[in-house]
Amino acid sequence: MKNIWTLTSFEFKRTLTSKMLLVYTLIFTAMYVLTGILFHVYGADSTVVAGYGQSFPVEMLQSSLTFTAVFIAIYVGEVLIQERNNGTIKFVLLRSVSRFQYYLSRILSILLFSLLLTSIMLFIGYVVGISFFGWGDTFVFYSVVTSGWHGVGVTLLAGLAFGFAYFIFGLIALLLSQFIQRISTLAMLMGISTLVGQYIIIYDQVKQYAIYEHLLFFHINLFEKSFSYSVTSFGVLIAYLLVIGTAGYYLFKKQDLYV
Amino acid sequence: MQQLKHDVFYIIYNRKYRLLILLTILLTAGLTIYTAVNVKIEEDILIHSFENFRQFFWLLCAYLIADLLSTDYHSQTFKNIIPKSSNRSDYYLSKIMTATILGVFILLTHVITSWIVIGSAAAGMELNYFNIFYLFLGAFLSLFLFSALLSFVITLSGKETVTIGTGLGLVLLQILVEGFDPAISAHFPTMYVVSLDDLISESLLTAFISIGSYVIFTLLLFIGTIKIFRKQDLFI
Repeated sequence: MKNIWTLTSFEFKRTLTSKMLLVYTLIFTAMYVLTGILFHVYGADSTVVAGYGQSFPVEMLQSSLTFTAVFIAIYVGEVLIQERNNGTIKFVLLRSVSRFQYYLSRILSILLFSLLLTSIMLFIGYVVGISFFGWGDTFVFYSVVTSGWHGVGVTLLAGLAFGFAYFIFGLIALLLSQFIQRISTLAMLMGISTLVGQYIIIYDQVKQYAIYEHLLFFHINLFEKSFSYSVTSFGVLIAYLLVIGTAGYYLFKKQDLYV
Repeated sequence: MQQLKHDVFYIIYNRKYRLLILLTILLTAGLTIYTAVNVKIEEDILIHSFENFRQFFWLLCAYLIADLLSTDYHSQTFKNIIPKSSNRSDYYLSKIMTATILGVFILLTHVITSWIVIGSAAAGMELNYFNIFYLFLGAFLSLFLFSALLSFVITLSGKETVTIGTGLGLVLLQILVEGFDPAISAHFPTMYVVSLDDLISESLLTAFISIGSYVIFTLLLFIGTIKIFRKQDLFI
């Protein structure tokens, strides 16, 4: 347990000081500021936001689908592909760290990164939203109309759901990263998959079982669909977690890592 | 010249780039059939098919440019390559040229595949398409600019992850905002392949300024890259 915690916390601290996180923050800031400018110049119909600072962060989550997917894939590449390519993975595995502990620490790192990225997006959303629109009287997110702390609670709950869906997507990337040698290849494939995935979810029969539906709508459906629908969606994501997590570990266990 | 030969052979013998062409063919075929089923004006099938493909095209290009530029950073092989070049500027000039030509080749693959798919399904139908010369001129100019920009980024950061993140991030950012004001977005690199023709036919002066800006920015970014690259310690 101590090994897992040490590996995960080291990875998290490294992420906090990485250049990559600065690039993500700058790109998200640019995207949010552009949305604010477009709202003011071209009117409310030109963007997905309603013009209230308090609901701006949660409204902007969905529009970052491919951005977030690419960034998660790059992070996954950094925590597994890079260590394998540099040969530094053997330094960890030759100590008293089992492959199970190592793989679990990578899974936990992806979970923390997904939540960190979501937190950054929400934080930038609040800063940009308040700067452009002020706090506003009302919180509007699809059919949810409220204000004040309740709105903040809805934002945080939606953010948690959003981060969880991207964590599962990160696990798929982690599984695929075992067959791919370059981080850029993994990032491109995962980014393109989100564009192709948007064509898959037009089919109602399969969409609840496709990860792309949850990347786009899990945090919205939580408030818009029935309780049983949300439970089923959560169950689907948990099934992904168990199947992809286990399959990824078994593949990792059998890999020749003594590069 | 030696560096260019090396980069061309790297692309030819690397399986990854052949898979990229295969992916282009499959995506084009899929999107063309999807467009043909859903399109309202049949004569515009190929134009709509390219509109659907354009964002994939730019993601593929951002990837191939970042991948080509970061190969030696990734495998730390600079010390094997730099001593063979007569000067360091050849290195990036070759990378930028190779990436641009490969990007244009992907575009050519799309054009040919979509014509073959539609040609076999709707033979005899008269179809509208872009002006091929301006389509490829737009692709050359925008890919040169984007390659020079990413060269600058990788020289500054020295990291593959930062370069691919910036490349894909910038492409997605442009795709996100390009629908708002056609007058502004017509000058975006991601739009240049389809907008250059209209820019030239609407106002020759605007088109001249736009193309001139592309060339100047590409040169400035290239010179900036070389200035930094020449001073770097690459003998790792």
